[in-house]
Amino acid sequence: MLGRYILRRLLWTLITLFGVSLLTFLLIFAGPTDPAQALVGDKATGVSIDHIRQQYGLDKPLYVQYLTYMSHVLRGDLGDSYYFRQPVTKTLFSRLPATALLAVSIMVVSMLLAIPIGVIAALRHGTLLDRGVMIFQLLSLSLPTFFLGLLLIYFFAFKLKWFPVGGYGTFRQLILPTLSVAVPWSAWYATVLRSTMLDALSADYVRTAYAKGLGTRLVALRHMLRNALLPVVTMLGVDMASLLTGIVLVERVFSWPGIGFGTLQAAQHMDVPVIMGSVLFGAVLIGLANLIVDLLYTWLDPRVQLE
Amino acid sequence: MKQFGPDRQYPHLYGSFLLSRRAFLRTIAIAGSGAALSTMLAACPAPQATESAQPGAAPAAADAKVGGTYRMYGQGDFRTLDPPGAESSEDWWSAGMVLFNMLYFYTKEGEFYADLAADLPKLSADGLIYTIPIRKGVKFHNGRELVADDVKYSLERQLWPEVYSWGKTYMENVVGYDEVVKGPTKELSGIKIIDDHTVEITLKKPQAVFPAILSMSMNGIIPKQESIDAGSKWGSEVVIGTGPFRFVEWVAGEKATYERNPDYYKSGMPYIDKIELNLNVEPATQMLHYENGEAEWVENIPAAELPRLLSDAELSKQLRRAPSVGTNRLAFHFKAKPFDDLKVRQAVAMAIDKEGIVKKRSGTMTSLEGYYAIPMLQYDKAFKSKYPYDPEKAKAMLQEAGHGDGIKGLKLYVGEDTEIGQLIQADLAKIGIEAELAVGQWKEWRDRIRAGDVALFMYGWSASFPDAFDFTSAWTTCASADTGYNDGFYCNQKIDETVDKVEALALTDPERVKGYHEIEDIVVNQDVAWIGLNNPQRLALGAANVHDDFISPIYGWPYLETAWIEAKS
Repeated sequence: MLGRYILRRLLWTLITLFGVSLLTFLLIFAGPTDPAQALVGDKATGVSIDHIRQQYGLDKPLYVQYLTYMSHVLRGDLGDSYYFRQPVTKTLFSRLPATALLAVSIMVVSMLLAIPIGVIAALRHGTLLDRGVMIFQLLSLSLPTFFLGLLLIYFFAFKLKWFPVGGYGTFRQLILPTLSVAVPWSAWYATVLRSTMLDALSADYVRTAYAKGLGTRLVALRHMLRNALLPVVTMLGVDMASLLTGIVLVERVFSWPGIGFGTLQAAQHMDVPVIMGSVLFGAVLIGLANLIVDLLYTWLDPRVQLE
Repeated sequence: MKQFGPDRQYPHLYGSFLLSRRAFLRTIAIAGSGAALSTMLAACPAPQATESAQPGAAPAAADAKVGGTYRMYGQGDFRTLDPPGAESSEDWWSAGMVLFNMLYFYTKEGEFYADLAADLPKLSADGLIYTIPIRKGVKFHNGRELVADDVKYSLERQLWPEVYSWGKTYMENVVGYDEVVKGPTKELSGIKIIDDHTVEITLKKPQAVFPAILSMSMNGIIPKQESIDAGSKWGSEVVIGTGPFRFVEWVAGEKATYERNPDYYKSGMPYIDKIELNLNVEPATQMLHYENGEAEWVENIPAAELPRLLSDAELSKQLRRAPSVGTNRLAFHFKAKPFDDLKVRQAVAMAIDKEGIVKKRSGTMTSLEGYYAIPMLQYDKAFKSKYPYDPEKAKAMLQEAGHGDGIKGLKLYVGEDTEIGQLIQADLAKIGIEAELAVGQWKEWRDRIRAGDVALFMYGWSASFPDAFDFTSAWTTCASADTGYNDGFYCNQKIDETVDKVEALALTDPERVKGYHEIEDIVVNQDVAWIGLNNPQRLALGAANVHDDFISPIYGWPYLETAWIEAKS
């Protein structure tokens, strides 16, 4: 049953990928920029630009270009980057470890912050503590992550010299970029968690739990939290996918060599294979993230049936 | 010759953000806010290490200079380290000034010298054949000696269709160019190996700047067999040159590391042990690294930081400055009223307060009398404009031209630099000329400029090498109205004739220099076709304990073969 469900979902993901690829391809070529021109820059001259067009098949009709591209993709070949002249898979995968490390780190720290804050705010709602938490949430949600990143660099790297200014490779270099995203995100998760916990407070099963003599801590952690986490898990799935496709501004501020910045560069250079590869990669991740979220749902809430 | 190359594309304004290419943005963003340097063309400094240190440097014996790591930060990324393809600021500099050498190069003062060539080329009487002696005893980083075969291969390989090069068309005057550039011919028939240390290059027509073209980084000399053996790894994992530093590694998107080449042909140099070039670092973050003591060089000074740097006693001393090879100038449409009248052009020339512009930009540019950039071979510091700033005289001149009531309804194109545009607008208003600012990218305005609808326009241009040819052939000749950037249709046959005459001479021939002096006089003083406004500076920050890391006027990045790090006490 579950196997069939997964298979069906994967099939839908494939169909989505096909749609995404077609749309992206059309969007690239519908724009005013000629990829061949963008590739060689403003300094292109007749000879080189014509040659580039021929070399990359950009002189062929659009549908031929698309079909050629897709036939390669189906064989697992995402093509070569026009700009960097190396396989797209290499471009993507060389940046994946940095991106994955940062993504996981952000998620773990976000949850470690969000769960206690959300739970405490809900249980102590209306108190000074709850209001304090809400103000903190509002403040950190209002700060753009790159600005928070710059503030963190200024105070913790430049003034206090606790961490390096930027870069990639050591544990200490991971901390500030993680915090610059995890702090505002945790505020968002905590807000959602607080509100679903508050809903749960008045639910029958909570009253029953209290009635059978369980303490607040046990009721909150064993009964309420499990239910309240469901919407957070949905958010987590989608957010994880977006983290894995890169967080351009944070990567830029901290000189973090992730996928997001690579994609941005590709867009700047109209590097069609890298743009396509990055978008498809992102679409696969989002598809998989949604699937995993659905599967997690059944574990968190046995009432949920996958059909 | 086409007017393209890294760092210099379409007409732009220094200090404005006209172009999308990252490397160029960076250059002009900094150049546009730079200050006066009185570095003039000095007489022939030898291409050896100069001992003239930065202010406050203690003299040091050569061996005491050796050592240290030079940490650099740049905003851009690498495309490749293959000389013809390296075109963003960071890889362009790495290929052109660190890892490879060309046959010829320029000193920091703009002096042309023989680099991998043993001497200046010998030019045949008909101006068509250059005989170039190759320096003996030069070793590639793998220890093999450089021979003429490597030179021939390097020059022809960059023209092959499968090799990406930003600068192929610069070589179009070499015999056999078309057959190679379109393929499948691999050998450039215009290059002949005479012996292991001599090559002969035959051109289709005389071209004085050809040796200067050989100084451009797409013509960097690579080892033939080694680059063939490296296959697709060439330029990324395998990088073997003759330059002062050897390639160690390039971590994509992150950093590159180079180490001292102990066998560098310039004996004793370089001094620095290791270079670490960090890529993709935001200007604000670069500044923090610098002020944290984690950088010896930051390339991108955030515009907002410049006033602080200039006013800070310590930091201002650490600013590295050099005049760029670009200038900003004001031009007229010769077929549109009222600028078809010489007197009106003279009045405009006298109305512009060039020093006012320099002051506005905190002295990070130098005002000009003529229109050549300071590092250029033909720059003449004695040159004087016949029309210095004098608003009263300008007003009188306008009256004499029959515009006593002033001129209304004009448009002044200023790129995206409204700040400078407004200064010029105000200067013109003082003598009774009302001009509305036309703001935006050059590509968007060019048609209206050429049509005469916008008859007064501010253009900037950065040359590929410090030679006035680059400011003339596509700009002030009659032919360039159709084929170049002479958008005001200025035409004086004498300029075309002079260019034809002097371009048949050798690059550094005094007669050629004289010819360009005459052209500058015609353009600025006789015809008042252009008003040279200023020569922006290249700016960067270099640590106080590093000496002789002079900025290259062409690359905007430092010469590191001469640089040395003083140990911090």
